[in-house]
Amino acid sequence: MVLVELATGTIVADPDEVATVLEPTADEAALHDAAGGNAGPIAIAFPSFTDGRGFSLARLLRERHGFKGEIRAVGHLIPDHGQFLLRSGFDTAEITDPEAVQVWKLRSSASATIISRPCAIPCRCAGMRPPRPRLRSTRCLARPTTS
Amino acid sequence: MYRYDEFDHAFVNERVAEFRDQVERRLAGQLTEEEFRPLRLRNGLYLQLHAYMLRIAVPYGVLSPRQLRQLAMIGRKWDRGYGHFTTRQNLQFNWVKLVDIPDVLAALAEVEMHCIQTSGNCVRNVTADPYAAAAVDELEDPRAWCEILRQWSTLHPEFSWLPRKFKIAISGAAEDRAATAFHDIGLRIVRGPNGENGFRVLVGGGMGRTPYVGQEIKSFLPKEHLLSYIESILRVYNLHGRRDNIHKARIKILVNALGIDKFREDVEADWEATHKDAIDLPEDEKRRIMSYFAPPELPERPARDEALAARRESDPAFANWYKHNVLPHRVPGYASVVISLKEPGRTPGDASSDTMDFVADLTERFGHNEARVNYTQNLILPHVARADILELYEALAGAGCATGNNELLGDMICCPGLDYCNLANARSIPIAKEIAKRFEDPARQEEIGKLRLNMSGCINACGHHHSGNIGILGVDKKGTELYQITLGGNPKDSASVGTIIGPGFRAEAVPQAIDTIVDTYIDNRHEGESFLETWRRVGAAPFKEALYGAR
Repeated sequence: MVLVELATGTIVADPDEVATVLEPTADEAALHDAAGGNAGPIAIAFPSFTDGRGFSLARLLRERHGFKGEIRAVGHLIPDHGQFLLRSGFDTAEITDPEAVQVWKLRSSASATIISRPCAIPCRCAGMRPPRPRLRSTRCLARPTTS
Repeated sequence: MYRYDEFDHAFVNERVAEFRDQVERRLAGQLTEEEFRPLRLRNGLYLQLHAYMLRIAVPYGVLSPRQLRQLAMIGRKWDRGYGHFTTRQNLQFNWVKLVDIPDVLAALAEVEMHCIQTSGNCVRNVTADPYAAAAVDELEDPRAWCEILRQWSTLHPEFSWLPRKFKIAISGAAEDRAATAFHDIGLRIVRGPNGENGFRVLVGGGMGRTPYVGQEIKSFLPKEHLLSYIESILRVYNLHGRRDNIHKARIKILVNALGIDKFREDVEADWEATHKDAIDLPEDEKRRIMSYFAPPELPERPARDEALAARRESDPAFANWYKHNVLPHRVPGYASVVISLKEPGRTPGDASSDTMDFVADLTERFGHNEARVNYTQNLILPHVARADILELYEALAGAGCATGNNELLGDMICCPGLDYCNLANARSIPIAKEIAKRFEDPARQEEIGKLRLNMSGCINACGHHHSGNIGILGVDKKGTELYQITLGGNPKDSASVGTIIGPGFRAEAVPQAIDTIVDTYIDNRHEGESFLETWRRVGAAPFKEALYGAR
C-alpha cells in the first residue's frame, strides 16, 4: 500500500495518520464533524471504483465546510480516477500496487487541459485561476500542493 | 455552428491518446475487463452481438458537410459502408474492430468530432430541437445552452461516476420536438414574469423498464443559474441515487421514491448552500459561446410559390412530399426540409456512406452548409430557400431519398434490435420493414394522418416505444419473439406513457394488428382528431374489442 500525491504522481514518503474515515454515506453532520476536527487527513472510502459518491463528499468538504487539510482517497481506485479526484478536491490516493504509480503519474500528466470546471472552490488553486470561473481553464496541476 | 479552438483540439486529441493508452493497458492485462469497461464506454465503445459498436456524438444533432463526408469515409474504411442515426441524434457504427478504434477517433478529431460520454454513467450528449434557429415557434435557440452543458459536463470532476447514465434535452420552442419529458432532465425555454427567458425544469422522466414522464421541479429558473441548479440536481442524485441495483439506479427512481416535493426540497437546500457565482457562467463566456450560434445570413430570395403550386397540382408524389417534409421557416422565402431515412424496405435511421456524401453535397448546394439529425432518426436541412425546393426535390428523388412520410406512420422510430444488439430480446428491423410494406401506399398514410409509431427490441426502450402513439415492444417468451403493443404514448406536450393494450402478438401478426388499430382509430375519430385525441376520448375498449374480440 502506497500513497500517491495526485498533483505530481509521486509517492508520499511519510504519510500522516488519517484522522477520520468517511464512508460514501456520510451525511452533512459527519462532514461537519470531520472538517471541524482541525486534525489530520480525512480519508474518503471508495468501496467500488464505479461508486462516485466520494467525489461529491470531497467537494462539499472544500466548498461548504472550508476544510483545508489533506483529503485522501482510499479503496478501489484506478489511475483513471486521478484527474477527477484531483479536481474534486482530493490531494492523495492510497493504492495497493506500487508498480502502478507510473501509470497514475502518466494519467495525471496526460491532460494539459480540461474542459470541465476546475477543482473544488475554494481550494488550493484559488488565486491561480482567472478571477471569474470559465468553462475552460488550464487545470491546476502545476500548482504547489502544500497548504 | 460551434467551431473548435486550440483548446478543444488539444482536449480531444488528448482523449484519443488516452484511449490508445487504455486499449494498450487492457491488452497488456494491466486493466481487467471489468475496469476497462467503463473506460471504453465513456468513449462510446460497446461490445455488441457480433462486433464492437462505436457511438459518435453529434452534439445537439448539428452536422457540417465536412463532418458528413468524414463519417462517410469512416463508414467505408472501417465499417461496412453505412451508419445508423440514433434517437439521441448520434451516429453508430456497428462493425468497427477494436484495433481500429483509436484511428477512427483520430479521424473524428480531424473534423471536430468525438465519442466522449456517448455512453457510461455520466452526462450524455445533450439533445435539442432539430429545428433550432429555423422554427417559427421558437422563443430562443437552445443549441448554445446545449454547448454550454456539453463543455460543463465533459469530464466533470464530480459527476463522471454517477449511479447511472444521465440524459438532458432542451427545447426552446412552443412545441416540444425534443421529447424533454422523457429525459433525466428536460429543459424548456419559457418566458418569465418580467418578459425575460428562463428554463422550466423537468426531472425524472425516462423510458426503460420503468417509464416515467418528467415532473416539474422548477417552473422558472433564471437562465444565468442553469449550471448551478443542474449541479444541485446531480449532487443529490450522485449522493442518494441507488447503486445497489442497475435497474433502479436512474434518477427517475430516486425522484419517485422520494416524491417530487421532497426531491425538490433537497435540491433547493443544496442550491441555497451553493456558491452560485463560482459555478454559473459569467456573461462574457456565455456571449462567447452564443456567438457561434448566430443564425446564418439568409439572403432574400423570391419564393417561386407559383412554380411550387403548379408542381403540387401536377405531381401527387411531390405534393405529398411537400406537404409532410417541407416545414415553415421563420425567415420568409425559406423552409426546413426533412430528408426521410424511412424509405419502405430500408432500415429506419440507417444511412449509407453514399447517402452521407450525397447529403453533404445538398447542404452545400441548398442548405447553408448545415444538416441536422432528428431524434426520430431523419436528417433535416434547416435552412433551404423555397426557390431551391424543386431542384432539391429532383436531387432527392433521383437518390431515392424523397419519401414524403415525415411524422406519418411510416416515419417509425426503431432500435437496431436483435440483429445487432446483445441486449435485445427480439428483432425490430424486420418487423419495421414489414409494417412499412403494409402501409406503403402514401394514400393510406395520408388517410391516417400524423401518427407516431415507435418500436424497441427490448425493455430498455431505445426505440422509444413508451412514447409512441402506437408502441411495439419485442419480448422473448419461452424462446419465441412476442410483440407487446402499447397505445396512447406521447413524446410532446402533455406527454404520456403508452398503455399495454393486451396480450402480445407473434412477429407475423404484428402488421395486421397495427392495421386493426389504425382502422379502429379511423372508425372512431371525430373530424380532425389525432390518434392521441381519439384514444384519450374513447379509451382502450374499442381497440381491445377490435384486436381481441374475436378470440
